[in-house]
Amino acid sequence: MIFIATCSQDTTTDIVMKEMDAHYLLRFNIDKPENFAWDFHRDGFRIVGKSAGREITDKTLTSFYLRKPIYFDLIDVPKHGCVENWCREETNELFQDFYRECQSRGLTVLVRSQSNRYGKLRQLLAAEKHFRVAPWHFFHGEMPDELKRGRWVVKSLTGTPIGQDKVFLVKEVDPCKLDLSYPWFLQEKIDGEDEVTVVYIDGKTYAANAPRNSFGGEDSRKSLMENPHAWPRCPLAVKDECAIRGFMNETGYRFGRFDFIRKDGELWFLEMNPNGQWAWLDEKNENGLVTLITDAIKAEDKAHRARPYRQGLPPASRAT
Amino acid sequence: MTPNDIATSVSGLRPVESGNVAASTNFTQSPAPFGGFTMDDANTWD
Repeated sequence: MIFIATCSQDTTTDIVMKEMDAHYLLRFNIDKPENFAWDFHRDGFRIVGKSAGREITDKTLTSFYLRKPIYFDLIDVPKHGCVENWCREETNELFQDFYRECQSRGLTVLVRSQSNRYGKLRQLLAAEKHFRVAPWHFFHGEMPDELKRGRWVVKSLTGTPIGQDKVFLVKEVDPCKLDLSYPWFLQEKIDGEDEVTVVYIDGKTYAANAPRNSFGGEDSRKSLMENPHAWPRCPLAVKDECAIRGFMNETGYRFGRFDFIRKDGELWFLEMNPNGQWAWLDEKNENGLVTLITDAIKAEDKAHRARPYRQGLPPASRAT
Repeated sequence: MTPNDIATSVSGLRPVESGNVAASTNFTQSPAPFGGFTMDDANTWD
């Protein structure tokens, strides 16, 4: 089946679909989420088009055709955000990441992604090969069966402001109480001993940790906002270093900050931020983190000096 | 339960992590902020 990502106003897609066998297509109108249900998880995905009475899964999707997944009806977004905009951005980010994942698997037709960015969906799929990862779901419209058991925390994909001076931090929820008309990202709760954060700098690592009971358990960022403090440096096991290198080699990133929970000595992957903040870990450079960063910048800059920006212009342009 | 019920108030606090740069796009603009917005201008998702 061909998955067509577009919007309800796209009459070109109406024309295209008339020329094709409708049973082989699932049209996804991003601006009409109420007509769809979806569930992305470690073992695959399922997207349901309620009005067409059709679904597409990881077993049936053969092509992804990108048309025009946009919101024609603009909304006034207040200074600190609003729920409606949050929903749009969460949905957009999920399906854009899905598009890039399909591209990486060679499934896009005609319109191809030029980006190999790894959003949270792609990161979790990649992480499964290198780390322990707690079960996760990105879903809307229907409650995945797995969420009816166990303990789960809610997260967000984008960090988009939601209004009223609120942000989406990680928080334990009862999935059965969630309003399914919103897009959700849930992950099974990991009861670990501490949080470990690892800055990866072009092959080198800097790890630091904080005991989970030092910030009340669920999201260390609120504690850090209220009381910024450095986390003590900690060693990394060789197998963890290898896993981190493996993940970075697969995704192609050369810098990033990993967040893990350590449970029974094992690191459980939460996320990798390719432009994550790091200075709070060693602000005074007492452990050499700032030096690691600046050495890497200088080394790459040295390589660039042989071919600076202007050098890339054709000869006639350089004459002026 | 809605996202508003779950989100946490951080009034007066500075975020330690601002997240990916891409996430801080000004959402009050449409993808192609032209007066005569047309489908053709809307090239989305790289």
